[in-house]
Parts: sequence; structure tokens; C-alpha cells
Amino acid sequence: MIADARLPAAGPRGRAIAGLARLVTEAPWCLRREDLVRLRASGIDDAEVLHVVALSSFFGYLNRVADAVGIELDYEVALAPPPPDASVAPLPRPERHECPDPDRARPLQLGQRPTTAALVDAWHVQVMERAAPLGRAHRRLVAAVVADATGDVAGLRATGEPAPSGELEQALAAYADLVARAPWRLGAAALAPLRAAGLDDAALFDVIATASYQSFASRLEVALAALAS
Amino acid sequence: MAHLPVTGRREATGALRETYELLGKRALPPVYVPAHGDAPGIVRAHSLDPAVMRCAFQVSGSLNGQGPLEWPDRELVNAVTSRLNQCLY
Repeated sequence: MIADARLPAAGPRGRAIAGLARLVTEAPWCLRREDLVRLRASGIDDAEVLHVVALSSFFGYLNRVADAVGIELDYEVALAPPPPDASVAPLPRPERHECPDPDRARPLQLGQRPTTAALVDAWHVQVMERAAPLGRAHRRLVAAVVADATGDVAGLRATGEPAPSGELEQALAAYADLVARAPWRLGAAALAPLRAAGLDDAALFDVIATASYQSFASRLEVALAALAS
Repeated sequence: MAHLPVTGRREATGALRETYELLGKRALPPVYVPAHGDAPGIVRAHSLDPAVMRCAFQVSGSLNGQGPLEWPDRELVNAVTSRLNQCLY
């Protein structure tokens, strides 16, 4: 895709979009209000910034589900990327008190894309408010671990602080942390402790869908809160 | 081999079959239509939970079916995100 002639040459606009996607993916808490000024100077308006933030957060969801479930590619690739390097460490998030303040007035909100916002709300309800196959308390624990790992203060208010106890909850918390911070380490082996703790295939997918959804929601939330700081 | 069971469009029944039919109505650029004739792998990866499949790909549709970013810019965002997540997808 990247070699497609229709892609823009990496001019200031392309570099700015790629740089923004990079920060959303690796360290959304690093964004600042000044970045909007810098992006506008590169020809990217606020609606486009919101689109990049939402799109990159959503593609992070798809990456996580793809690696957690272990899908194969649908087509041949001419230039295969290098295999994942498990030793790559995720960038550390700041201490809690230095995470973006969720209560500041925001220049960008998902509600500025009303159709997307309504569909995200429906997705949230579908993922978080079912009683099965994973119990609600376990699903809330998974979401809390992801929100904590992503520096999502507002998310943690909704889920409560993660406090895993017992074999299953410890395994849920460890897996959720991996999904949030190092999805390149996901694989069959990562699921083994959850299987050993008694989860069946449907419950395992529930864990994957919940942790990956919360990674999307927390990344989006933290990036938009950070752009207000 | 996937780590979890995956049911394709041809074997799907009930709610899963309906969800594949609903999502199959989306207008996809030809480059995204797999030659194997089944739904894309990332859609099939959700086959254990058709309701989540529907919700997630409706969000995808709203982010990829509306601007303001044009297709090349969207591909750039997705490619950068995948690369940093070290995901082949």
C-alpha cells in the first residue's frame, strides 16, 4: 500500500499525518494543544486531526484482534515486513498525576463526528454490558487494566481501579496489559494461562474483544484529552 | 493456524450468517476484496461474536466511508499504525 503511486509523496502534510498517527499509537499522552497549531501549519485542519486520531485508534483495535486471534493475510504481499520483534519495549506512560486531565475543555471531541460517535456508543454497550460469556466484573477488570496501562483517567473512573485476585483474575490482568501495551507479543502462548484458568473459546474471544475495544477507547480518550492540554 | 476457531461466510448460520450478509453489502474498494471469495480475515476473526463483529465494522465503515481524509491519507494512517504495532495486517 505504501508504495501505491496515489499515496502522497512524503511532503510536510504526509509527514505530519504519519507523525500524528505515530504518537496516537505509541504515546497518545504526549500530544499537546500546540500540536494542533503545528498541524494546521502543515495544512491539516482540526477535523482531519480528529479523523487521524480516531482512525489510528481504530486500526490499533484491528491490529490487536488480528494478532490475538492469529489471522492469516488474505493476499500475497510483494514486500513482507520483518517478523515481529518481541523484544521491542512499549514506551512507558507517565505517572497517573501527569496523565492528561480528562476534565479540561476540549478543542476536539468525537461528537464532532456524530455518526461515528453514535456507532462507538453502540459498540461500547455491546462489548461492556453483556453478562456472558465473561462475567461483568471480569470484563470490567480487563477494561480497567487497559485504561490504567494507557493513562486513561476518565476510563478508570468508569471501571474502578484494577484489583485482580486469584488465578483467573491475575491471568486476565496480565493478558489485558499485553493487549494494551505490547500487542506484538500476542500469540497462542499468551492465551494458555487463560485456558488453564478455565476459559473456553467464546470467553477467550470476549477477553480479546474487550481488551482491544478498551485499547481503542482509551487511546482515543487520552489523545483527545492530551490535545486540550 | 488461528488461535481460536474461525467460521467463514460459507459455513455460517443464524446470526453470524445475517451479519456477514449485512457487512457484505458495504461498498469496498476492489483492492480490499479478497481473492479467496470469503469475508476478509479480520472480519472472520470476529466470528465467535457476530454482534461485536457488526458493531466494530459499522464503526470502521463510518471512519473509512466518510471524510475529511481521502483514501491515500487513511492508508498512510493505517500503515503507520500497523507498522508500529508490528502487525502484518
